[in-house]
Amino acid sequence: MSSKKLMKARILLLGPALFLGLSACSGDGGDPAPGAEGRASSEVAGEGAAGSPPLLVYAVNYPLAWFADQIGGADVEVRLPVPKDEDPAYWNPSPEEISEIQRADLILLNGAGYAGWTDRAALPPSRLVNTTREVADRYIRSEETVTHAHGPEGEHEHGTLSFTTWLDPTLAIAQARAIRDGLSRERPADSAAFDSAFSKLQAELLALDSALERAARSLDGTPILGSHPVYQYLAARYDLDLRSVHFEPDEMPDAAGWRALERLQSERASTLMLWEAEPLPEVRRRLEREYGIRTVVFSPCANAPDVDDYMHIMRQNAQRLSAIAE
Amino acid sequence: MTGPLYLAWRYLAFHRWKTAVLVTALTLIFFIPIGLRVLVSQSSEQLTARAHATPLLVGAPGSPTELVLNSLYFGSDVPTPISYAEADAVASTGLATPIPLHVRFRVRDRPIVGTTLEYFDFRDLRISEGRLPATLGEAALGAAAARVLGAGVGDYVISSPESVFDIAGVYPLRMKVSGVLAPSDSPDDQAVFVDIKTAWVIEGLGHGHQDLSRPEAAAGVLSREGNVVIGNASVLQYNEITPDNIDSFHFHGDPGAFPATAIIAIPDDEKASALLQGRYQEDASVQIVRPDDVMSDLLGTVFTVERYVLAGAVIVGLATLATALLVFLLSLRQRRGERETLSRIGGSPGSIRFLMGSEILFVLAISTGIAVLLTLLASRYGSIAARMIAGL
Repeated sequence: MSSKKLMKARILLLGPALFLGLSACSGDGGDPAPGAEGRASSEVAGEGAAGSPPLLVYAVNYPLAWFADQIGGADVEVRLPVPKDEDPAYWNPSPEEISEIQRADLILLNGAGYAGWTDRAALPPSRLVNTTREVADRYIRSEETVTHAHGPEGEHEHGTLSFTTWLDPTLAIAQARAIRDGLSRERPADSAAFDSAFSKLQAELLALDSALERAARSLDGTPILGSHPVYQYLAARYDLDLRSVHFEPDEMPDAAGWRALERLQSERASTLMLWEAEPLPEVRRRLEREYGIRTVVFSPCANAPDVDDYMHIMRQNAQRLSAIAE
Repeated sequence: MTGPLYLAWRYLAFHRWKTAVLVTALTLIFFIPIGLRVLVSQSSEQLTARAHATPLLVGAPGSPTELVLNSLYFGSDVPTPISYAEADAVASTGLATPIPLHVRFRVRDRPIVGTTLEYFDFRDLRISEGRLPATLGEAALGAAAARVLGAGVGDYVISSPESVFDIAGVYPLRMKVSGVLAPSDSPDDQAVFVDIKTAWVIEGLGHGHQDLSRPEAAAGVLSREGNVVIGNASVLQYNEITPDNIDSFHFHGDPGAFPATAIIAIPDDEKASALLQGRYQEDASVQIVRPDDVMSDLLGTVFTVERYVLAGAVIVGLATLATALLVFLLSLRQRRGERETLSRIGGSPGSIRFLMGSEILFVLAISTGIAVLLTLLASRYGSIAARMIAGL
């Protein structure tokens, strides 16, 4: 196909798409990225349904890669370029890796400032899909905004948006819909199949939403803590009373970290802390013994897990939340 | 019969300066009209071809010629910029694919073309060495630009200030060469290509600097109140984007408001093209032009000038031809004694006429040969010469 014909097939999502990257907090504590050089969860398809080669789709995080894989099926080859032990939100690809990504038919962005490298990379705007563009009015401003001023341009802010949007299943549905639309635009002949697969995924995400809602209701307004500021969209969706500290699952927090926790506890005592992965045993013990805080793992699943898939892990999150509330 | 030919040749060789002047004059008479026609025809073909290959251009209201010359040939003055959001507006119509252009800055005398990756597909530009720019601060050089700047993959080029007095003006950015493009025999050969965001960094809309919240930047902090940090003039700003500092680069303000000098719009088909042009007809804040039409108007003027030049060349040519004829006639009269000597030593009148005629034919043949050669050279390299002369 000539380059001009290729160009004609690729429209929309320009300016903001250039800048609306994203950034999540962590993956799954060193989980691998099955899409690092291949499909997100299923095998690479040899050919699409219509006999044409599969669309090459790059995603900036695992949820998007998984959605694309579910919707695109055999018509897409989904790649998650982030190494298994990296957090996709803060991963920085080399120029050579970006050069590979430039070859994609579609590049799925999370939006909300996630994956800051996308702002600094030369990516083709006509092939970018900012999956939260249509729900940008639901972005949540981060608690941690540094404002500074220097030079003639005056005051400006860095780090303004929370970005783990997919933890709100209704936003995840919007992101999946954007992926479906992007795929349909690239491959109109397969749009019926994409629609059908999207409907199935939407039903699963709605079921997840119900499960999480039940779990959140069972918490009965209990103030909770996040070990990391990644649960804003979850809290907003289910009206959770949530504040966050900056604890890493594989590290013992330093004195400043414990002081920050004590400050939060003095303002309003929490008895539950969400963790992205299982914390160190000594941290868990200290939280329980000194602060009366129980821990529960709620994985954002930003990077690909070793076993299971996105939906399975999200259901497990909901189950653990329900279980600890009982 | 070879004797008279030999004598004619020896005569021309002996009077080499007179012969040279005659050959030069006749060569110019033959070459100027034909060569000029070839050059104009080639230049117009090339200009038209590039304009024809660029369906639509969206830019600020003003001179369409300036907009087209800047966007297609990277010459002329910099047109008034439009906002980058216009590219999004074109895309959102669903009628065309937009390619933004930012052609304002230079590396020495080579234009820096800030654009997006779609441009390379659109112009069918191929990399001959290295790769296309992947990050902020990387540049791909056109083949001629690489040669003139003496830079290859891994080398650096620096954007030039727009004026020597512009000390606090545009950002002199040191850019790493990521690749060199294969020759395309077009203005793209002369350009330094960067991602449009890099052009915005050069313009000062984005920058990287020390993290003011870190202890090592304490000297650059004027005041700190909660999350608000005020820096002073000593804050270190980077003039080169490296893997170590790229994370500190950021843009201020809404990218949609950032400048583009033009947007190339590639409509899906003729109908989409007409619809898109219709949508812009009532928008006074931007203009949409068909480069083909703009260049046709421009070339119409060029062809008018060419006709005057050709008429002048023909008149001068006729005058020169008459002068050359006079030279030959005077020469024949001057050589009456020579002809009598040839007759006395046994030369037939036919041989003598053949000898004299051969001399004229030799001069005409040499002149014609050189004129043909020059015409061939003009057809081979004329377009390059024309571009160099026009500064495009």
